[in-house]
Amino acid sequence: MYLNLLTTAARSMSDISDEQLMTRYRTGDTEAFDSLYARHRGPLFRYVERQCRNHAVAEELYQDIWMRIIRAREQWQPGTRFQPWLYRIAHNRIIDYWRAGRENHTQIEDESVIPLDRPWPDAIMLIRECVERLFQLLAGLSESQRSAFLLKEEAGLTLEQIAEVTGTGYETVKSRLRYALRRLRDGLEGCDD
Amino acid sequence: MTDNHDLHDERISRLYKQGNQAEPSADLDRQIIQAAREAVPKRKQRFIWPSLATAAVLVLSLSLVLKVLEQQPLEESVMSPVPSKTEGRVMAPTEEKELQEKAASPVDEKDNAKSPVPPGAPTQTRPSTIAPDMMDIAPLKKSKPKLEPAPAVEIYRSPAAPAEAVAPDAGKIQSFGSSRTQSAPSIDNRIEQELKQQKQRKRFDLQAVPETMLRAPARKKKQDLCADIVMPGSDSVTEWQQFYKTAMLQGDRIAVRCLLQEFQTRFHKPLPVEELK
Repeated sequence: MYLNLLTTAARSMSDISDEQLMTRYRTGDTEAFDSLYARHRGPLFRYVERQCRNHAVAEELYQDIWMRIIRAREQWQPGTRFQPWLYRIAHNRIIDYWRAGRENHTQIEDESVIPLDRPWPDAIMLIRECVERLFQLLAGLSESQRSAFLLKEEAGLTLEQIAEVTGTGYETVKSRLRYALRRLRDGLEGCDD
Repeated sequence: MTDNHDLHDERISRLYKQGNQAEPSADLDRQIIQAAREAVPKRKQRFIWPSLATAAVLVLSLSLVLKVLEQQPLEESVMSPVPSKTEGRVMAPTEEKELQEKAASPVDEKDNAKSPVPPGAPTQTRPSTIAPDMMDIAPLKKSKPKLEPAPAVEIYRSPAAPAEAVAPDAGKIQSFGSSRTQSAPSIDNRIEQELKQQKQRKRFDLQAVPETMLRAPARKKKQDLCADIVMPGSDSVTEWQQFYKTAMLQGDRIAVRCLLQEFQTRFHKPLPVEELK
């Protein structure tokens, strides 16, 4: 039921930008929030889930992120871009989550990757297997590299916006993204079109 | 290898999109939407109450202003004959004085004879409930020309006439409240008496009034009062007579007197009014 409502809300305000919707929500228009939520619920959830690799934790973090958005609506400045603002909140929340479980994530800024747990067959793989392999490779990337990749692929942010979200420089983002893609390409040999 | 190739791989993007279809649960959606809606009404309610309070204050203020404006003309017309010094606080002495003055003139003798109120009668206050046209019968005071009566219909009054010329002390309303202590029967008597006076006054021709009466001590001020009256513009005697008739019907003695005086001044003969009676 909620999905239908959200789809309708998203369609009814499809011409309105994220920034305008957020401004309207800030002044009390809850339908604007519905539309905004409908636009970003999928990509944001997948971004979070891919980062923490746990569905239950992802749901908890995802809800917390939206609560922060709701609470921070008064701080929203109409001149700023909504999407980088949303993902910066999400990124910070995920960093907090990683830091809370530091024993398992000691290398947040480490560029090294986790080696694959099993050898990859030489035979041409099915698409489903390629997808599965891709996610395994993603999980093996460092948090910063994975974050750069997901922000680009899932959220559709530009390199400048990724740099803004992650609080790093443009060149650093480029470097991380280049490294992540090389690693993924290497691991996906045999998954040609 | 270009930057674009380094930083984007179409094949990887496609694979990623094919495999990643996860979405939040409907329950999670509901909780977030609910939280977003609950966050806003609290904020809205905070602004509703001050708005309502402001609106209520505005409505009350407006109604108060309208009420005051509504009462003001009535009180002005009621207060217009009140002399400036006695100011209606005790109306009766003024009225008594006026009656005494009227008694001095042959015309008002009859009225005074019929009057149930003797000259030395106890103090009576004028009720605020007297109709404005009743004020028209109040006689002119010799030394207080400001007691000009307020006519019921001022069709020939100059619209630009200053308020002071007609009722300079009309604004002093507060003292009038005390006059309401008068008993009901005495008010009735008073009204009845004044009605009789008005009836009789309409019967006589003002031209028959002795010159001494027309030449009241307050003559100079009477001229000022005449300035408020718009006289007929034409030389047509009929028009002047019509004006005279209207003034007589309305009981506006000031207007009648001014009209006759103006006609006399302008045409060097009295206005023929005998045929109008």
